[in-house]
Amino acid sequence: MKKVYTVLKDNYEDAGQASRDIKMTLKMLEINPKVLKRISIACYEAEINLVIHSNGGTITFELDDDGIVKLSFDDTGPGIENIELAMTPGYSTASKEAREFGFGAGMGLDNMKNCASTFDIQSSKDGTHLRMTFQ
Amino acid sequence: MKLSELQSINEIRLVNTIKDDKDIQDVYIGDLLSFVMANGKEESIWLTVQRHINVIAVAELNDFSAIIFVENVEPDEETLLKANELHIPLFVSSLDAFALCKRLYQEGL
Ligand SMILES: Nc1ncnc2c1ncn2[C@@H]1O[C@H](COP(=O)(O)OP(=O)(O)O)[C@@H](O)[C@H]1O
Ligand SMILES: [Mg+2]
Repeated sequence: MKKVYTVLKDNYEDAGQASRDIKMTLKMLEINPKVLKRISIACYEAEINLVIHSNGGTITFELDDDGIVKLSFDDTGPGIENIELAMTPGYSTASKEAREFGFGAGMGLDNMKNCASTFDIQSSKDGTHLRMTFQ
Repeated sequence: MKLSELQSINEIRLVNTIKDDKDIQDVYIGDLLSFVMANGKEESIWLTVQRHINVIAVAELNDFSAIIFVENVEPDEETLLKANELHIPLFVSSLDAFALCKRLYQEGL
């Protein structure tokens, strides 16, 4: 199974919609609730990052025959200059507006890494590409 | 404890139209969404001053039973509408989070 979602920059109103849809899909397939919780946290954090930090992009959800869930987040920039720094809990470049809405705790990438079975992030000026798998 | 039992606390009022009588297993207090996402447990009631529509996605992803906006914070109109759509009861309390927790504790939570 494969689903692709488009995420727009600064679209706070719909932020979390893709994560919710993915959660509903997996819930109907009766996936283990503990795994589902990890997927929900990681997916939401990554989706929010596309909204508040990137120029927009896509989320690709894939479920393979072995029950492994793969989530890919691909945006069109501006990229992360120093990934190690970005991964540090508490580090955030979130705008004042985003912080007012409760984002920008600087815990997102750390939360994702803790939730995912595998976590891979690549970034350049042209975009950030994040892949996570869950089992 | 059930959501209907919140009625006995005068300082809490329902502000949307969702009257589902869900179970309350726990309470989570927080305004930074990443912390709420990481640490909130299902069937909790969530005490926050965050009024923006994003709280609804967080409550939904965490399977929270309800959100209580403390210190008389009124949720945004969009937040109310989205909560109705997703069947999440919203309450407003005049108390701050600690005072409300004391009341909840008295009620047996
Ligand atoms: N998709 C992205 N595009 C550009 N920068 C990003 C992206 N995701 C994360 N970042 C950078 O990494 C930092 C840390 O991200 P995160 O841990 O999710 O914390 P937060 O989103 O709360 O700032 C962000 O503040 C931002 O500078
Ligand atoms: Mg983030």
